[in-house]
Amino acid sequence: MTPHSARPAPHASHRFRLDIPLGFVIGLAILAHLSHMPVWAIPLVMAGLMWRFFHEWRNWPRPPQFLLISLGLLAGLGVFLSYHSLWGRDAGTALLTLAALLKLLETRATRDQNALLLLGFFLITSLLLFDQGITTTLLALILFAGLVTAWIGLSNPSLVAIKPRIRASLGLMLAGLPIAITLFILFPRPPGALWGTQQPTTQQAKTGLADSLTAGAFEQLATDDTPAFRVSFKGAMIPPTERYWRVLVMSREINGTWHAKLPNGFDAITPPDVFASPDRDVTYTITLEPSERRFMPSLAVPIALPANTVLSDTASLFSSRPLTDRTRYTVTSATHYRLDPTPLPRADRIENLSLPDGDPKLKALAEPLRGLPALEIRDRILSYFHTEGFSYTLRPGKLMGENRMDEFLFQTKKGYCEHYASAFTLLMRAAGIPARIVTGYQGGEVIGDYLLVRQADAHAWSEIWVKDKGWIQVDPTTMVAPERINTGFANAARQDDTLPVSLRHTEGIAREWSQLNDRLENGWNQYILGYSGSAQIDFLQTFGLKNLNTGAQLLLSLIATLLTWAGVFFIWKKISQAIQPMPPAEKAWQPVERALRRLNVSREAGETLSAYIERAATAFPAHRTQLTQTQSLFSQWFFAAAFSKKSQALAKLKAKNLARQLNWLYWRKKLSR
Amino acid sequence: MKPSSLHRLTLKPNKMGMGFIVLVIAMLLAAINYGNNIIFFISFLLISLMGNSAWQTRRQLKSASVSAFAIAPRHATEPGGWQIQILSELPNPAITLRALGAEPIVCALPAATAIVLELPLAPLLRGNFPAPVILLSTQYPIGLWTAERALSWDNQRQWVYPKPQGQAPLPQAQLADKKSAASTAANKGDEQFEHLRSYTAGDALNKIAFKQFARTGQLVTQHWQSDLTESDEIQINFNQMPGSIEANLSQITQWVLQLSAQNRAFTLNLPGNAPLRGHDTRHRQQCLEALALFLAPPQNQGAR
Repeated sequence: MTPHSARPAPHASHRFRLDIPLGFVIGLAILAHLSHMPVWAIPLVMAGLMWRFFHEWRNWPRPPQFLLISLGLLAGLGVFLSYHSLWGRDAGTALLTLAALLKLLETRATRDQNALLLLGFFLITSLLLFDQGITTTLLALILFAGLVTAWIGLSNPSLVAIKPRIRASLGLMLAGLPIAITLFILFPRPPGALWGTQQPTTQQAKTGLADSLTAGAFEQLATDDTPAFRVSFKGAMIPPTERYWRVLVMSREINGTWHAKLPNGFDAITPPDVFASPDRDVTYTITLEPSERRFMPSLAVPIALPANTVLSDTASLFSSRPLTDRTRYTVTSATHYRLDPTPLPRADRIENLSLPDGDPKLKALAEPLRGLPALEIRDRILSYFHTEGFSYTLRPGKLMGENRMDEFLFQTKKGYCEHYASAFTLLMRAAGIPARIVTGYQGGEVIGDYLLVRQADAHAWSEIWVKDKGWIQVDPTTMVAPERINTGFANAARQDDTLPVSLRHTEGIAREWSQLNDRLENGWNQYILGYSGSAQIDFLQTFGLKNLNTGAQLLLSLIATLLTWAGVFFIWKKISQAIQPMPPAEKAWQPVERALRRLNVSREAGETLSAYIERAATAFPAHRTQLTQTQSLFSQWFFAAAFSKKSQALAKLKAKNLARQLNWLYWRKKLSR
Repeated sequence: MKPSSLHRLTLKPNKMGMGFIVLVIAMLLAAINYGNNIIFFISFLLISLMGNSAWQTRRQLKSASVSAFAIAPRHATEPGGWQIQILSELPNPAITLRALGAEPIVCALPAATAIVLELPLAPLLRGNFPAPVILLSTQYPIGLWTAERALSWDNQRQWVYPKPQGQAPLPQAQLADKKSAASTAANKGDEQFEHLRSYTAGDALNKIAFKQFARTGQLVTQHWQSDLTESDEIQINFNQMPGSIEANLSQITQWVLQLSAQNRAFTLNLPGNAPLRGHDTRHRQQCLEALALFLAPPQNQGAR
């Protein structure tokens, strides 16, 4: 036999070449960060990546050291000027990305590549600080697999070909998955942040309901199909006409703009008087998308509040801190209730009766109604909207001038929900009935077993105060666009093509696709992203594991991980034996030789099969017949031109039995020792 | 030949592994701090990669078995080579083999196919040494762990002959000088026929046994006793040499190689050893072994 070509240990004498998968993955990871980099950094990143690319491809010289150092200093200064900090998520990530870029440009030895690899993992981690959606997670996992592929090459410099590296990295990731999932399920999630987490910058904050309301304020929201929140009900889902998600209550009107009174830490909150009918309540869990606000949508009127929330004096739910992360909370609301039925305090009464200076026609319209019972006034005003040719449209045209409400009521007669709510509230007030505006969301799309409420479902309605009955909800929009309330489609009024598919009231494949997407996203949010400490405790309780402290849980996750680890090892061994690329004869023979090797009879260099088996037979005379019979069968299989299928089966069976017996022998010897 | 003992397989984390432990801790802190489940998952995936690569690396090494051929003798200060055969049940793209004290080699092993390769051996001073321990190691797949196993070979030895060196002319053996005239004139019939051996380049044409050639087709030459004892025998006497011990041994080695290349008979007289007389490869080997062991430090003279 001639010596096999063996490669000497690699030397670093020739020109250094960046590992291709490593360069590729680091480049991708840097590009993935581009969207949240400061604008000035974008050309820098592009130029840097191009430079390295041409260095590898066309042997461009590497950037000189002084240029890299000064670029590093400038980048640091730039980040500080852009974010006024070098710490925190945004500034930290920008610095990390620029550092990775400079390291990529500077890399000229194997050791540098290891640093680059570590930076790559940090880049993936920081990518997930900005978004944890399905797409970003998939991207992160793909980059992760790419880094592992690169990693295999870095730690085995003789392994240059990429295909076996990809195969090995996929194998590693696949074998790692069960363990990672076990840890994910069981590893305790310590509550709270270890250091101050930075709020998302305004550019990332979702637009949503504002704490003030002007005519036309909903114009933007109405075409925004992004989810606001999702609701799952404990028990049956409530009918569309009851789906009024209360967010803010607005009593003060200044120059055509309604303002909400937000609870703050300085003013004491007097909770409202709520008289709820027993047995008429509904419990539901809301998953609220992140925003910068503290508003928490709920059905009127919440009677069992989630932790860390307050109920304002107008019966709106508020969190004690801004809800910058996706938040899940469970509320119980009374559907039949009396809110503040006791006589209104003077200050509240005055505030909810105050009228703007202008709009004389509005005041004149309401004047004759004064003195009538409150509910009768309500009905008359509503029927006025119904009969006087009002229409419901998102783009009613801008109302200008001093007396905007007069203009709406007597000239344009076109409006969106906020126009009707405003006009109705002011008319009630002018008729002497305390009234206020409530903003929130109305309706929602039923997807499977949950309700998806989008920003486009934003809505405004009114509340009037009636003696002994308290605040009663009135939605004047029902008079002009009843389908808006009954179908739950915010844009019932318009069926134009400018709306996103998900907002159109049409059936079809596109709509189903959009629903499927949302179901996926909801599942992701609920079960993956929402798998927090409390969800974990709930989950473990279903297995009867109650009241585990962190230490016990840690121990549990450790034990489960070790068990999974052993399981993966076992399965891996089985699979890899089954898929070994070997001729069938070799494959059938292997177990015998493996067993003999364990018994310290291994085949020597150049030894023939028969000589080897003769040696084995001498060592284990009890198995001589079996050994020689099997050997003669396999000698034929190995070397004879034709070996029938039947004989192959026999040889396989013989080898299997022999291997089993020899393994028995091994274990008996081992145990008796 | 298989190793006399397989030492325990050790599995150690690499320096790179330490870096990754720091990385995982940093990632877990970020995950806890931001309550970020996906970062948790990615860190767990990294942890599982570390755990799985431990047994994978171990298994890669465990599936490889090594057997060795005899080590070819070499001269002092020359690097040597050792043919060994390695068989791995699993494919292993990067396994490192190293004879203790020598350069490592990295090779790729296909599954279940025996491969013979030459392992470099470190240069040594003359003597007879135990075969070096072979270190078999791999860090495949991700280099976080190194699995290593030492293989010792108590039943194998390596010969290191003195380094052939020196330009002194061949000693013109006195005894041969005296007899040379008589010997050339001597009638061959008086002499004892000793043996036949296969023809080597340089053998005189008149020595070829053509009868044998006609019968067997093989070229053999006839040799008579006088060829060895009287006609052209050279005497190498260590005691008559002027230089230091090592210089003399080197010079003698040089002569031995020269003479046996010419297939000339000679006698080697080393103090304390019986004179070694002969002309064939076996004789050459005996001489070189004697030279290797001559006054060598005891640790260089293994039990023979």
